[in-house]
Amino acid sequence: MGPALLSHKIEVENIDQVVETFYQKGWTDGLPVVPPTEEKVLAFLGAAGLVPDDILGAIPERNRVFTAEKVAINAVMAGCLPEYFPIVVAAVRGISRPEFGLHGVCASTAGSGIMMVVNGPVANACGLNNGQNLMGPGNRANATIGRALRLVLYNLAGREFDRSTLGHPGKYTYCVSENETGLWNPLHVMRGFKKETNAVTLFAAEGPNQVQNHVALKPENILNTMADRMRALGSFNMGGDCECAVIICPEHYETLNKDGWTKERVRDYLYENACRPLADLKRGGLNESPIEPEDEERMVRAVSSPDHILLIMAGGGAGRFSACMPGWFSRHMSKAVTEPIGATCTGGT
Amino acid sequence: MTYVVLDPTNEPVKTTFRKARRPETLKGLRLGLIDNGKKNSDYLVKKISDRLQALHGLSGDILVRKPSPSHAIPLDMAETLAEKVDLVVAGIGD
Repeated sequence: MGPALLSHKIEVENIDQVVETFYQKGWTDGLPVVPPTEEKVLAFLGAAGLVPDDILGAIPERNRVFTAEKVAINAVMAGCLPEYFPIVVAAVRGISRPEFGLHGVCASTAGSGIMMVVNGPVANACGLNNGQNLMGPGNRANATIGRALRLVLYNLAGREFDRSTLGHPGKYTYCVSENETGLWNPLHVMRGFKKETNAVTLFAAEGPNQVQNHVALKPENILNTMADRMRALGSFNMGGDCECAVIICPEHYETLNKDGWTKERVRDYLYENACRPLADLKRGGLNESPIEPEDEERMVRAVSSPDHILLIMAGGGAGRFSACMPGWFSRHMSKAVTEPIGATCTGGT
Repeated sequence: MTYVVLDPTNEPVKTTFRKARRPETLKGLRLGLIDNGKKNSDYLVKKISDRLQALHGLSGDILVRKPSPSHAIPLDMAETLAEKVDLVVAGIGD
């Protein structure tokens, strides 16, 4: 017997009726849900060392609070296992930090998804995929942890605020982990955490833009292809001032690493080369003032610092496909955050 | 056999708001304008101010720009504005 749960209880005849009731009430993301029973919710709370009315976060612009009990209910519905719950808890804490700007992120017509990158021993302990079909279907941990965050936003933050013009499939789930077996510093280490620490990085992002280069054997040329994708006129990286996530696949990593390129050097190179003349922005309609002769030489960067590139190594061992995920709007409105995952979680500190 | 499941939703936390007192006339009053930072927001609120001045004889306006469209106006900015104006146009969207 655990602590008393506070949520309204609904009695139904069978599992089918649970699923249909939740559809009728508008409590799903469009997919069927796992019935959130009291027993399961208590198991999730226990796995994270939380009591039902612990407050994990809030969205103050909407007067909405995320309690541990309500987040656990949504994580059960998403299909999570109890051992995943500390990751979901950390994610909810992360998106509630003021600098993440959650209200804008999940209201904007731009329709960003919230990309999650899980680092540290917990990723393997929970079976998170960092390899083949990284962002595709088929892996329970990736699918359900990301889905839990979306259900939290829909059921607890107010789905009526989501005004996405198009949205993207990453809004169902957008959770990956990093291949930490190489020589590169993992993302959470780049962002100030110890390697053995478990952490989740959250980033409001467009869908993945795949970048293929099966030809280049020179590091610069692999990265030139990536830089070209990062400076697309239609992304907020050119129209605003936001961060950009980059996934380097293992084959590209091998080429870069063999030639001594560290993550830091890759970020510096992309920062320097993901840019285009101001005249391009004017020709492309992002800036309607007249083109001046010097605009051909004045460069506009996709990111304003190498630190604004969230670089991870992940993906299947075969294929030279990397990806970039442009950010949402502006760093004035939303910055990526990295949140440590609670000490009670399986697989690390 | 029946199943008991839990409601996954919440409600907004209830807070009490007090409506600002409405002026009986706009004549001679100073208007505050909050530009939310999005493109043309300043242009739009200024247009509103011009119309109100022409129609109702406002004495002028003060424009402030929020640092972020998706965050509430910072408290110190709101308080400073409140000291200088009699009423505010605060909400625009797209």
